[in-house]
Amino acid sequence: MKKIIMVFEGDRFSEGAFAFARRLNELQPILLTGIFLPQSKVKSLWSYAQALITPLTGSDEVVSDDNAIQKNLAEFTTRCTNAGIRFSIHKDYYDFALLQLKRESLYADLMIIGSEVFYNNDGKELQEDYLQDALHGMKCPVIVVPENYSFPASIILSYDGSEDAIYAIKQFSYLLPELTVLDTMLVYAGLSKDEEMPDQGLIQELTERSYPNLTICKLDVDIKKEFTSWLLNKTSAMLVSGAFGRSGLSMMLKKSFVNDIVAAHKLPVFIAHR
Amino acid sequence: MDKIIAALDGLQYSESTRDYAIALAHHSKAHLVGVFLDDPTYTSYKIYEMVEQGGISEDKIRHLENNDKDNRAKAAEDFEQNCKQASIDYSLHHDRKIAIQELKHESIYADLMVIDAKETLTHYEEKIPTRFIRELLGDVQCPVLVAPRKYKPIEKVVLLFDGEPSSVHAIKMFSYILPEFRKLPTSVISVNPPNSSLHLKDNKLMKEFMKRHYPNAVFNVLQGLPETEIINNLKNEKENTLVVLGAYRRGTVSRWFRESMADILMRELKLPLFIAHNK
Repeated sequence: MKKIIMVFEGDRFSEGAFAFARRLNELQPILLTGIFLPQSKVKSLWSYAQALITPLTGSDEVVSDDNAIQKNLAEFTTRCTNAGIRFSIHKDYYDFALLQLKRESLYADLMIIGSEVFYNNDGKELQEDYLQDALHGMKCPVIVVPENYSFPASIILSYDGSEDAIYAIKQFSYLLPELTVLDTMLVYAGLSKDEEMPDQGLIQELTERSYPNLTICKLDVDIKKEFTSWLLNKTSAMLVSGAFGRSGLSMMLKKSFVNDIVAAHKLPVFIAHR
Repeated sequence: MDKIIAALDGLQYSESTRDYAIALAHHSKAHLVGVFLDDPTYTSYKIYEMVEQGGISEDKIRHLENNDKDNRAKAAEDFEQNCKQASIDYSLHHDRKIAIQELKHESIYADLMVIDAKETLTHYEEKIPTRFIRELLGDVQCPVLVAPRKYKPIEKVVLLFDGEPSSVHAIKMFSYILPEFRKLPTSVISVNPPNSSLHLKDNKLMKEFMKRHYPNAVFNVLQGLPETEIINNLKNEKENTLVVLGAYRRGTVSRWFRESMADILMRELKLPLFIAHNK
């Protein structure tokens, strides 16, 4: 049984993330652990630098946060019970929340986050630094889910020949075998039109059994822009990526690519890095 | 889990690697790849063997080379036959470049590697842990089952836990890659410093996680020095016990000065080890 963690800040409740967890539970029972954090720390949660600078909040803020947390906690409890999801609650984190969260992720199989937490208040600008900091520090793969999305009917494995990309493909098959039976496309974006896909034989040998409905497809980098829009039109797909690791080897999978996908608020993205 | 690679030296063929790999492939219904490291710079003979009276003998070289070629072919044939007998899905890779690099590369595209603890990929004798194994474990991109000299079916699992990320990562990888072994009797061993409590590190988080994956696991918290306590504890285990540990984080300078737990276990015990680490 998988242990999946979800973070709740103040009174924010991510509908997209919860819906995703509920669907996963329907496929295979999970333990959903809700981690409840105060809203006042919301900016410092996802930014290491800010967490060090921001002083402890005054007691007034904490009290109002406490109410918000209790409300959210009750909502979470009710929803899990109604949906038949086994759950647990972790709370009472006030300082150094990000470090605590890192430790939580070490003892979890997956984390699900609603992508809206990484936007500023307008909901328009993706705080790329926050996203990158958060995901880099986590010790388990993360699924970033937009508020409005369709549960995946197909999977897209992004492959650029890097070890990070393969790591993500392996981790996805270990953690979500119930989704590997979906139509899957492994997309390789090479450096030039003529460039051969690296280690095609090896990648095929690795993936053909875990992904029984797999197609392998090589994409010319000239049409990267078209690929991004094609991807965004596949409204019922889920992207698997090893991006956001700090190795920086990938050409196609620069952070701008996955950021574009997350920023478009459309597809859930599974991100795993070593 | 779908792809296991067995790292094999055709010139010093390990039946133990063969047997562990086939047993695991059979158990998990995985595809087994016999990776034969036919490194052209590695021969069974040393320079002085090529010399006869008067200098280097062309005939002798040819004879020794053919010998090596034969032995490599025989090893591959043996592997194939055993796979067929076990009715498992298999294939062979003959990697003809530098062994350590080829093997590290293969590990990127594998779920699990099986290798004998005594592999040197040289024609010299070396003490365990060998240089080849130490270098491999520092950089390998998938978990490794390090096999002892002789194969024994695995009937029990011991998970070593020290609260460090790599030990939790190893337990996770073991549960994802070999989930069938969850049915076996499982214990978790931790060692706290002398005169400290017997509390498990990150007790609540660890227990909550373990309940999902190994609900019947037994927890043993020992006191003392890890190297001593763990060896003393494991020395009493039968050879059917598999030990799971995280080890060899890359870039750890302390490795140069202090042996890692994996090195000590390989040297002191005859048990198979499942070793996993992340960057």
